[in-house]
Amino acid sequence: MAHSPGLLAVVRSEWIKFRSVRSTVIGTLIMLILTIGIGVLIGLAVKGHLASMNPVERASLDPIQLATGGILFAQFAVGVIGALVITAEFSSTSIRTTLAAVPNRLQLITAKGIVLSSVLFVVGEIACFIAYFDGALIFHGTIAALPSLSQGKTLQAVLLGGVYLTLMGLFGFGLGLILRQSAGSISTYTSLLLILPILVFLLPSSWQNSITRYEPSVLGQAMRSTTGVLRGGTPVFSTWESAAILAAYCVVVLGAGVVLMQRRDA
Amino acid sequence: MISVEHLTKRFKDTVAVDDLSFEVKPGLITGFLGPNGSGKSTTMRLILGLDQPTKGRTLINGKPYHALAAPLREVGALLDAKAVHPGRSARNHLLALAVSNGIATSRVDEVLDFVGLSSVAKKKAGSFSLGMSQRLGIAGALLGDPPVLLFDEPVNGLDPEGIRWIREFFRKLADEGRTVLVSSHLMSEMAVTADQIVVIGRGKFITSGSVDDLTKNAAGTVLVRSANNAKLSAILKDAPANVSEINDEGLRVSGLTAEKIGDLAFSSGIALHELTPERASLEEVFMDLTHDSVEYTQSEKGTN
Repeated sequence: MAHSPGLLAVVRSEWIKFRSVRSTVIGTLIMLILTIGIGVLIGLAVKGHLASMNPVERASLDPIQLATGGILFAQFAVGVIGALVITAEFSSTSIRTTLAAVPNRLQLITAKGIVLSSVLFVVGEIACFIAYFDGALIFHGTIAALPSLSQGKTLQAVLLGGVYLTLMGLFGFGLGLILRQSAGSISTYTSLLLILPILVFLLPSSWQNSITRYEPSVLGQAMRSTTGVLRGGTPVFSTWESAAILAAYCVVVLGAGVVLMQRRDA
Repeated sequence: MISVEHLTKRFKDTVAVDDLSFEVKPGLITGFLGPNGSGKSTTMRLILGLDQPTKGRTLINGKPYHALAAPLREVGALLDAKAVHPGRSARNHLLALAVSNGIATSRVDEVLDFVGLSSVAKKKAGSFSLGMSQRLGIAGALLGDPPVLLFDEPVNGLDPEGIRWIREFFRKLADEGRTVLVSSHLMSEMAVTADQIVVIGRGKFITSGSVDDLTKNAAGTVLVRSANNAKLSAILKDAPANVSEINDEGLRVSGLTAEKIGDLAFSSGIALHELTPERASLEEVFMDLTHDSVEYTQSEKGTN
């Protein structure tokens, strides 16, 4: 009787799949370019206005946040990659071929999750560190000069930038498992990031203050904050509370995805 | 060996497979026959564990599909030739499958060569014609050199040369002692391909047996020409038998043997000019068997 090839074999198989399709490879490159490129653009734009800033603005200046600001754009790329890892299988019906080869659905989802999060973590960290060093160059010698990596929470903030991108990719993956359609998953992901804040904005300001801190991108900014406050004074959770809440979102969405995947016919 | 035991699959308000039981034995090509929509594909999806049965179970060599350690080494299946990511190359598609089941990667080039796709191995599967996609699907089914193989409507999209190739290929697999299940809605195709046939209609088991058995047991017809067809027709109808006239030249009779017809004609003093038993073709047997279970029968109205 053949010995079961196990999780590692499925991870290797999923890695072959991830790198052999244009959409996931290009998506990963776009995430890298957005994180670095937008960070540079924000840096150059802000640098020109440093002199004209009022004291309140200067006080809330968080250079790390500026340097890694490209994440606000890159988070859309990782959501799309995460969703596509599973929805492309459903839209092409290749999920049937996949499940015939790997009937253990939990094992399949785990393998896909490992490949996705490994790629996003490695590329995300590379992107965040490059963005940090670009920022350091741009703001060198100004009042917004970036603290060195060994100072305070700098290293932690940069590292958590990559962690945020990884978690958001897993969130998109979870939505893909639940919805099984590329368009539906991507528009749901985008709506949660873009439309939800607009809806919250329409609520009374006392509600806004208590709800805004739960928004994924606000949690991400709180994770990267070295000052503990965001510009505009939006109240936020602490770094680790924010990371835990975002991780909890992922657990809920992925958990629902796993349950549905186990129950539904392919 | 594939065992299907009291298999039932109910979708919202339709019963796709209804208490279906049969066995597929090794060393033979078993044709899985039924009209379109009779539940063949659903049964195959259930065998592969892609859908959950409402009741009953399917076993591969005594085990449920999900209990197979490396399924591709035990079962090869071609359900839908287009079930491939269109942006991935044929080779990478097979490579990912092989790696997931611990199959040597050298096997990928072997099966590509066998189905004749080596020269397009690096091309995207989405650019393949249906015939090429079928070949890629067959390559995938063969990857693990499995003892059990399932093919759902494999001749669809193949040219005559491809059809001949695939028939010889099935024969070779069966001769090697493998279990081969091939579904089709085309009786004529199965008549020349299969050894053993399982017929279903509306998800229910109808009959099974060898091609010979199925045609032997079916009621044939007898072609009769005589000096007085009108009189003989009346006598035979009283017998009673089903009689239809063919262009005033003769009668086609069912429900009576040739001997009985000859005796009746002799005792009535009608000279016979021809008395030919006609064996039912497998096609006719099939139409007969599944007539009541065809989902959409063409209405009599509006056909002229």
